[in-house]
Amino acid sequence: MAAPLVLAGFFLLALVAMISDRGARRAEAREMPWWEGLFVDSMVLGHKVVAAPVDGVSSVWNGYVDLVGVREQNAQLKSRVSELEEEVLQYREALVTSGHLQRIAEMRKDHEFSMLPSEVVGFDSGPVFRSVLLDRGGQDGVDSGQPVITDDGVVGLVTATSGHSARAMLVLDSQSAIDAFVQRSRVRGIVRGRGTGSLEFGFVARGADVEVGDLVVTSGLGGVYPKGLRLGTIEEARGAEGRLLREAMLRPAVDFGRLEQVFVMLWRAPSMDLLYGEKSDAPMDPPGAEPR
Amino acid sequence: MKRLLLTWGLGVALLLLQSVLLGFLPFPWCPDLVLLLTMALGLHWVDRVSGLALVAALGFCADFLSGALLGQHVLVYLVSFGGTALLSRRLNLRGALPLALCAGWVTVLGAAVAGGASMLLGGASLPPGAWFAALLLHVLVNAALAPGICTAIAVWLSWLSSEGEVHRPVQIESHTGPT
Repeated sequence: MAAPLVLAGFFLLALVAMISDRGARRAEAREMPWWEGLFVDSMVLGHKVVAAPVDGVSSVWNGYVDLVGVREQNAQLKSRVSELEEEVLQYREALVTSGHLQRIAEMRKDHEFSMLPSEVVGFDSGPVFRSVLLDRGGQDGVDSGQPVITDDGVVGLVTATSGHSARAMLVLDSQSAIDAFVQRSRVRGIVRGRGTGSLEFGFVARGADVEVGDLVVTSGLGGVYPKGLRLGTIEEARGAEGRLLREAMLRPAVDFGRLEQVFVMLWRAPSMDLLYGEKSDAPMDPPGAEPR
Repeated sequence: MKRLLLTWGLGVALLLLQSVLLGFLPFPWCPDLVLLLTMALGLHWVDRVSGLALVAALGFCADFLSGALLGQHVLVYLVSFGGTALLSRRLNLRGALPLALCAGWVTVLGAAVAGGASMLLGGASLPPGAWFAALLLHVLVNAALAPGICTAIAVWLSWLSSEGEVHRPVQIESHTGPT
């Protein structure tokens, strides 16, 4: 007889926790309480310990796969090495200023915000939620409401922080909605997560110029993300079919299956203070912004 | 108490392992290890009250680590534990096929509870058809792994019980009444 009562009690506790957590997310800054932060920080450490052998096995396996057929290639490649050595010297200088590093440098220059590199150390386990755990937290300057990006585009938004870790909701989450526009035609709409691997570009006016392959970027109007960050590419544009609005499907700009390193933009729009509360540290505005 | 703490530790370790695996095997291909653990506990954990406390504690840990509202995973794991315990009273869940079917049922029920709570309290919209197709795949993955995990948990619990028995003092009852 005790078990059903205990079950009912825990159900009630879970419901109360959900309702109060929902209220807390809406009303005030989502700084984790110390005990939750301590638990999450220790889990981040534990995650690194668990991930180390898995990463080791993964790299050994990848190494084995890479080795298949390497003997044949080795003979060919050796003859090419001497030719390439000379070219390497010439390309080395160019490589420093190209590729990934240059893209990051350009991105930082474009947005003019301080960016904090962070490792993704955990993913959400359930089928409903889409969030990641980052290894940088409040002590590194990370705060709720700050955008998380990569050099490919928008990853999501920091929703909670502890001392040394932070939780970020991905744009794929069904609770995520971002004001955006098509870069080519400037058609506006809302990019929403669907809980799957793709995004939805909705609230687009009927007859608007949206084509497959168009790039969709943030408009900056939501007050959450700066303008011009890549969100995704139109994969499927549906007709209005008698409705006032039409919608399209987006392929995300970021490959969430290979998410390892991200950048937290150490900037938060003033409007986010309404949601997450006033920040304790002032210097979060971008350089040149109007003082609050 | 030791049994409870060690099994909670196992659950947290599975939570971490699952989080690591998700980096290689994204949803729906990654099994929900903790959900399967709670299902196996529903089958094999004898004391229902402490079992409910255990799965609720695991639920809160999962909530801290995820973007869910605090309490959502608690609800899901309670449904999984309670539902399996209830089913095992009525049905024979000893074979591989019944366990797989039970895991499928628990996965769907858990997703419905989490999704419903997200829509009611989190402002999420109704998932698209592709999500339901992915959920079906997730159900199959969980169902395929359920028999193995349930057996492993049964072995784990029996090992913990035998550990307890080794250290248990021998009690000799004396009958003082008339024979």
